[in-house]
Amino acid sequence: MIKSYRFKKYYQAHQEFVRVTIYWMVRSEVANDLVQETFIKAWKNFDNFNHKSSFKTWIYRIAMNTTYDYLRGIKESTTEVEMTSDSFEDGLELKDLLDYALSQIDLNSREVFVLYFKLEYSIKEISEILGIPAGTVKSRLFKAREKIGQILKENGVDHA
Amino acid sequence: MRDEELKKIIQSDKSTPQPPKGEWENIQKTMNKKHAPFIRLKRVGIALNLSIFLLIGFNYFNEQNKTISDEVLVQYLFEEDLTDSDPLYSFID
Repeated sequence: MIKSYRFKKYYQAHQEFVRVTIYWMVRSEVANDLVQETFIKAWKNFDNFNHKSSFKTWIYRIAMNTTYDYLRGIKESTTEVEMTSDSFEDGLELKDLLDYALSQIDLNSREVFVLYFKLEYSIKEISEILGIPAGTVKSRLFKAREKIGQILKENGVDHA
Repeated sequence: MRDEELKKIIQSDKSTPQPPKGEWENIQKTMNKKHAPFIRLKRVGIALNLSIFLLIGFNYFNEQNKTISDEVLVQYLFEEDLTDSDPLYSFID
């Protein structure tokens, strides 16, 4: 009972972070289902959480594994997000534009992009979270930034 | 596009869905369902152990407080016990 109480506190503290992270990877309402799945998986493995890393880092890894499994599963069955001929100035929603732009970069670069631009982690922090060298983080970020920045600019979005 | 501009654009997107109503309750239901068989087994185990402990304790307590009947007492006090008799006099009836 104490264990489930502790877990509930973790859920309350981190559900928003998990939801934002997953949503920015999948860009659809299915994010809520994946959030539930993440916390259920985390509960099953809660005894293995050894506090070597923070709970945030630990649940983030579970969330990303769940998300990657989902995205790999739908990869073959769905077509790419297509752009209409509308531009941002012609009423195209920012959400739709970002959906498209994010679909144009690979998952690893997308993950780094979300951590840096949406969740505002530093390169060093991202390197620690993902367990990859800072140089790899920078190169993935560069790739993502260039592609997404270009798409936004081409569609008339160059300021918030 | 500079990082600050791109960050502002990304931050301005508020399309992240709200948590559905009852999300924690759904998670909790699944948590309890997965662990229900083990919880039941644990409870049965504890109940069994407790019963055995009480049974042994009760029997032990009973044995300690047993009183001898009067007949047994008399038998014990007045009947000859030849088992420890000196071998020298054992021929005597």
